[in-house]
Amino acid sequence: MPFKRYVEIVVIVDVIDQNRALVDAPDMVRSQMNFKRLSLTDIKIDIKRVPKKKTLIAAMEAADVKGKWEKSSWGRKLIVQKRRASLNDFDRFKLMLAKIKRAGVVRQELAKLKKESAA
Amino acid sequence: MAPKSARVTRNPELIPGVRKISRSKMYHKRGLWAIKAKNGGKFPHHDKAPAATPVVEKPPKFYPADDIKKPLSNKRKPKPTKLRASIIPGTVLILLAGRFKGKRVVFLKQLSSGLLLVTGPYKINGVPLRRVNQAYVIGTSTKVDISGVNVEKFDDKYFAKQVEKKKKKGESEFFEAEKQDKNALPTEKKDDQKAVDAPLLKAIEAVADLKAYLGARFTLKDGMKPHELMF
Repeated sequence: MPFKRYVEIVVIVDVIDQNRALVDAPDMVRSQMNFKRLSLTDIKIDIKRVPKKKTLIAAMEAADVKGKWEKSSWGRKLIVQKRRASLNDFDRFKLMLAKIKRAGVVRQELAKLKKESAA
Repeated sequence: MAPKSARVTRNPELIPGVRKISRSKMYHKRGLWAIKAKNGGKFPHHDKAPAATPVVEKPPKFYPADDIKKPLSNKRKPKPTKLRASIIPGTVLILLAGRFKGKRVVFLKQLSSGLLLVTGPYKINGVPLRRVNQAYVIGTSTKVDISGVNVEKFDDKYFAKQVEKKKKKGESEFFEAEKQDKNALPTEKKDDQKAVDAPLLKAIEAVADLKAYLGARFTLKDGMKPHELMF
């Protein structure tokens, strides 16, 4: 069952004890993590307890975990956060110009509507 | 010539004081037996070259009364500060101190003193050809195409203060003359500025919004954490 950890998504592959789980992901070494560091997602995949890395990856592909994650609202928010954090100084400038432009257009429309309703 | 690679020792030290190969084996390894064989059973021996007869120096006629101490020799050669990897010619820099703090500026080259040669361009943000210290600068990842610019002629001497001839201290003359000299920027400097900026302006206008970007100052706003920002 896939879970989200600090940045990336990992699969719970076994439960060690009350507090810890064995987690695995395609690009990391299988390791233990405390449940406190994990947040559950809705995504589930069909695996047996402690699968081999190859079967795990195959199962993740079959269930299209990456696709589902990126489509989910949580996943989309993360992508936006990452994009915002990686913005260059020039990008931030361009973003500011775009926001001002959009606000200007919105205000024009609003003014038009106000005029119409007043009339 | 091919560079000399680090020499691998033939007899590495396994523990301090214990080497890998024994004395007799090393003798064989070095081929001393072959050298001896070539030389007819003996190790080749070269007689010392006859020493040149020493020149007889007459003792000096005069010794100074006190011993003069010779200052220690200083062979230090200062080299220009190492340029940060993020700063390459054409990079947009943010100036952090001085009259132009916050201005975004184009980096041209590093001078021999280590200072960075920088230009606004002047038309865009009022920063002329100027020297700037690397420590007071943020290097952004935005680059401008600088290939059309010739910066060969600029060095630290170009920016040295003009030495004025000493004038007599007549009071009225004193103030008027000084004012006139200080305000005039020699036309060559203005021409240099234009020559450097012309190809830059073309390159800048080719990129959308870059001109406005260079014209604006950088400020920290609410919620911006400099250590988390990507430049």
